[in-house]
Amino acid sequence: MSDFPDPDEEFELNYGDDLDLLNEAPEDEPDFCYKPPPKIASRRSLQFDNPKDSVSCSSPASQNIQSQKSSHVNNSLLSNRTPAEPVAGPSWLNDDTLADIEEEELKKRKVEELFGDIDDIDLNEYSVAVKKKKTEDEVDKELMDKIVSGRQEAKLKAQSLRVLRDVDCSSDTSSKQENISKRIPKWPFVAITASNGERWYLRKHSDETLHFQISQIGKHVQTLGLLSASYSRLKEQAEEILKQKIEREHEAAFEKRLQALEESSTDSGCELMSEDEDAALWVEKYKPRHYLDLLSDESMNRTLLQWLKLWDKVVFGREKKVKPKPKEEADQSKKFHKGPKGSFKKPFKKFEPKNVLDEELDEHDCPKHKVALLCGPPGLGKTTLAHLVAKHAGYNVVEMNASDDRSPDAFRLQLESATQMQAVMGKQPRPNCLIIDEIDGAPAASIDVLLKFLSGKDISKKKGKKKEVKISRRPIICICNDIYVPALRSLRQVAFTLQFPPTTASRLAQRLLEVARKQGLKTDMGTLVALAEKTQNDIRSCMSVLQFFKGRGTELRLTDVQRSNVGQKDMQKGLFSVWQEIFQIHRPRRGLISVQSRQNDKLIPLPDLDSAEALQTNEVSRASRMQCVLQTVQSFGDYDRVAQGVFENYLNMNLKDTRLEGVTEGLEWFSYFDVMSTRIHTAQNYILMPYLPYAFVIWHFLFSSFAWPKITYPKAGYEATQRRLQTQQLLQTALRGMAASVRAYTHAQPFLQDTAPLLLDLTVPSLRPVSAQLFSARERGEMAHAVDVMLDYNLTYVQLRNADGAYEFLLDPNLEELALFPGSRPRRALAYGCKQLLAHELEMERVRRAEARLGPANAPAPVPAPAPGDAAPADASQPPLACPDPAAAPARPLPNHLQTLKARPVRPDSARVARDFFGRPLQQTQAAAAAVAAVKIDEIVKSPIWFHFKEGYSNAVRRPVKMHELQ
Amino acid sequence: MSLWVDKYRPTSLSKLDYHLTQAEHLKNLVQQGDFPHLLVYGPSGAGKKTRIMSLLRELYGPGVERLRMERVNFTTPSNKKIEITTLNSNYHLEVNPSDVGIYDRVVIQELIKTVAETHQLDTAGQREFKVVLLSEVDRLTKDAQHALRRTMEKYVASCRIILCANSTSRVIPAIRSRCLSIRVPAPSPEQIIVILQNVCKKEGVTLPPELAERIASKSGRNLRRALLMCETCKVQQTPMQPSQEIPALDWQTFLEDTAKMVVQEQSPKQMSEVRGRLYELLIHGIPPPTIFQGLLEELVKSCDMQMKRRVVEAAAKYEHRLHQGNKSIFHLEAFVATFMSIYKTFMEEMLGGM
Repeated sequence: MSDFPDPDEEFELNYGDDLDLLNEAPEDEPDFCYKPPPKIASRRSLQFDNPKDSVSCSSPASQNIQSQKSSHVNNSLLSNRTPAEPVAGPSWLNDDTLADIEEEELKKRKVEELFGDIDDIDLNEYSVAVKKKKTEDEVDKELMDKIVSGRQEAKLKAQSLRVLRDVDCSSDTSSKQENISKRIPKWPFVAITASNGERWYLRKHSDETLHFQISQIGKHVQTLGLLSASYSRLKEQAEEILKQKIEREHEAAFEKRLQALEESSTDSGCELMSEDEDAALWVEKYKPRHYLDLLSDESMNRTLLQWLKLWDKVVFGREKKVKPKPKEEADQSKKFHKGPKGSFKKPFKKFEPKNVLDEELDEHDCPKHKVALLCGPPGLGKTTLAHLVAKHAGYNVVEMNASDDRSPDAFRLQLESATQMQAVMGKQPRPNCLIIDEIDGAPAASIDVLLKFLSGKDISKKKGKKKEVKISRRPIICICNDIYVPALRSLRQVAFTLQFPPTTASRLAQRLLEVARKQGLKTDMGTLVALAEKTQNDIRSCMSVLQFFKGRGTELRLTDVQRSNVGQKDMQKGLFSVWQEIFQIHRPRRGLISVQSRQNDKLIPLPDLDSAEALQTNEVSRASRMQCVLQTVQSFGDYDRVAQGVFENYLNMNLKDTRLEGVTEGLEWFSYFDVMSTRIHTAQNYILMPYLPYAFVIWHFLFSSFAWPKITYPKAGYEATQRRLQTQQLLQTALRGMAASVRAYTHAQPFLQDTAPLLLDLTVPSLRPVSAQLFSARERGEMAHAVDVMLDYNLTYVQLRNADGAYEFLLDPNLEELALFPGSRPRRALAYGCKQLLAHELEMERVRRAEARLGPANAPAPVPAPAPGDAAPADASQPPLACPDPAAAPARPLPNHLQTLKARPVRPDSARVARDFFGRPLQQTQAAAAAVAAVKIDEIVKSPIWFHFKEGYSNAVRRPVKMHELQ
Repeated sequence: MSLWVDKYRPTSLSKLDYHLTQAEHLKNLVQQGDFPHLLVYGPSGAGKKTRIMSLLRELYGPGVERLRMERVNFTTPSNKKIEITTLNSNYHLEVNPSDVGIYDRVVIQELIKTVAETHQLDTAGQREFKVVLLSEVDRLTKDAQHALRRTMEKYVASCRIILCANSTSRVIPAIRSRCLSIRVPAPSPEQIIVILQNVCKKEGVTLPPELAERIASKSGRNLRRALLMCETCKVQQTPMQPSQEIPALDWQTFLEDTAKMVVQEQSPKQMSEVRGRLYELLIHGIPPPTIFQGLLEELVKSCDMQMKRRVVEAAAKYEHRLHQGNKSIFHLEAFVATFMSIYKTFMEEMLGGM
């Protein structure tokens, strides 16, 4: 009974190529397609022996229509059968053919699997694909239903006809030949012209046969068991694979976000989450998946995104391959990007007015701010925003947080790897965007590294050769809670700082309501608003509270929120807000405070505060105020500074007690506070510490008002301390320079209190402003006395230029600064000239004294009368040398510089008269004189030889003369 | 040595002007060439240092007066370098450990030990011991005082310690019991007048007795202050007149004015003004107890007996707290506020009663 015996397979193998052509050629012929098959399907129907082709012609829709395709395969195969032939049940179906078909199915499935692995769905077309799939799915479903019903029918028939099949086998082999013929056949046919001009005729089957064949597919598989798995299972598997693939894609997209988004934020848009993930934190579960889901302030989001977009030029602009952008904005920017620089900003300009962001690019095409700094209290979604925006702009997020090693070296390494390298292994290599979370906890040295890196000055010390200047070419987003951490000071100046505003309570509550509805938690809007307010709009803690209440299984009511301690943070406030808390009475908010305080009443007994029943409401608010102040101050911790601030501000408050009793009481507490804190700090007796904050409560009750307090930073105490140190130093200087004999009797305090103020009077002689020569004896005496005193106490007048540019003389250890007070009695002031005179005189006297002190040891000569006793032996060697000087001194009265050269008068020789031994002039005889003269002449003239010696030197004639030549 | 106060300072026990019996006792004390540790105390300007130096001169001769200043460096256990000035002669060493604040213990331990541990090699021309003179002992920290007490006993063979203080109340009993306490009371006004007259006679100027009396009373029995004032009078107006104005000390005037302000008006605004003035006084290094005293003296003038008691009580309370605490401005202002409150209540009651 089998219609397709073994030879059929051979035929196919032989004529496969031809069949291809046959099938392709008559595509358009209307009567060929009895059931209008999709074009692709018909083309592919004969390619099953060549599965690689189908790989090459992968179209996005192809993998989604597997089942449909398989039915077409059957169709085309079955179409070979002649409709005229009597159809006896499924008997025309040959086992082998079926096996063939199934094999083809298997192959196809493999191909599909391959498709799944190789062919990634583009994000852009993803949504389209899904839509397409849905329509085809419906088609599939119809088909599958048919198959299932047909299969069940066939099963029954197959069992009954199994016996007959073996007999029919032979008869079917003959009929097989008639499916294709070269001549015009008798049976209905389709004419095909081959490429070489040959004409073939294919048998045409009716629709019924087709449907029947389809219905037979499953049956034979089951009965024959040639395949390892039944068709239905394969089909299921195929569907499973398809489904998995879709899910995988969803999950892949989701995973990406999941790894990126870490901070809590809520979102309703995660329909794909299955039920079994109830265990996950809601914070994670309802985290925003898309930019539009963000709860944080819209302008903030946009500004950050805008800043990130500024990097497009340097980050994406250099790459040849156009990156697929997740958002149409990005695509737009790409398009614009081809144009001149900066034009890609156009899409923003439409809806965004110029923000605080400086959009200019520097010479490296980088934005001016190399780093963005997000700051704000915890739980507002800073990290979520950063991750989402980075993702949105097409970056791969690299995160560093407090859990990472952030020593400078590790930090640099991370920084370099994140900004200069790029993942190549991932599915889609994207440029990195570094997010440094919790940067306020990083050591200052690491932040220095970051700064140097940003400015391009960072040159690694490890490598000997100098590196080229590196400019950070990847955006860096820093996140911190407290922007005023000292370590961040320098970063703050270069970074693009974004203060994170809290989400509005109503908006947050709306989202919470959405989440609650999804999770089946009964609650209402008012409760959620209260919750949001209570947690100060901390999204994370709101979500945790919700989940907690869900876990309890009860509905969430307003009272629950009020009563619960959850969601309250131990938040440290700023100094000014602490002071404000102390000085300002907050108007009690009815609902929240009262319940809270009543609850607190149980915790801490307040003996003095709950006295009168009539003042119940007042009492309650007082108790809550006390709690509030206590908590604030305790959480701040630095009591001394807060106390100083209170001390310096309380007098400016609007104090109402006319008799100053409140002030007195307050000051009593200040006094107590000081004694306590001194005790604590000197003795390290920290057990007393808890008693300190109660003083603040008292001050709050005494000094606070409803009005807004004007608080100034307490400077007076600090300034006073500084100035006191200054005066102390001055005093030390003054004491240090004193003469030892005076110093012995002078100590700091007496000097400061008694001597210094009076010294200012004592050192001012009453001098007329005239020349020193004209001073009277009294004036001279006074001046000498003043000079003496000043020298004793090491005072001098120093000429200084004052602010006006005029010169004035000031005391050197400036006693005036030490001793004078504002509004001191006027002193007798010396005129400028007198001070100058005095200063000069001081200098002279000082030199004189120094000389006198050094005199006996170093310079004995100028001393007119050296002490005879001890100086004589020491100077024993000196007198011979020194004597001529004193002796010569009177002889030459003229000082050296007045002497001039004078010609010495020539003394005539004749004037000398020869004298004898006794001094009598000698009477020389003429003869003797003549004899003497004769002797003189003779000695020169008488000699026969004269020599004339000429001085000088000549080498005109010089030749060697030997001794023997001379002889 | 040209100020009268330095110029006419007696240098030997026999030349002292007052407390003559005490001088005699001191002379007897060093007669044998040895003496115990001494604790000399008395108010400022009473002549403690003069007596100590006279005693040393009695002991060692005029060589004691040859003084030289030295700077000694120490390193504290916390590796802080400190410097202190000492006044040395060949026979003694004077140091004020409280100059270095809380590190005075180090000075006591290091400096005194080095001095005390060195024995005199040549005892012929010298005494067997050196003298260490510690001034302002009452400002020493407790640590330093405890460090001192064992040192005093241990090195008694090679060194004597003379302590100089204004009051013994802040000297620990252990030290007080180890010393012979010598109290030098302030001179009486009469004694001051006599001295002023003597000095003026030596200077060759005439001092009107009325002026002398006024100076004596204004000086608060502080001889140094009296002599300085007298000399200032002379500088300001050479033939001194009986009715001449005596120059006041600026800080005293300032303090008195502050007290007057307190009496004048009682309001938070006035308090902040007063606070500014108190800060000013503290800045100029006037010790808070002195400020307390000055304020109280001036304030009680405008009080009746019952108020006086309360005011003095408040002053005592806050002055005590001042010593326990650290921030003197708190306590000063607390006292001022208490006075204002008492005064204002009193005044309002008076007005209401009328």
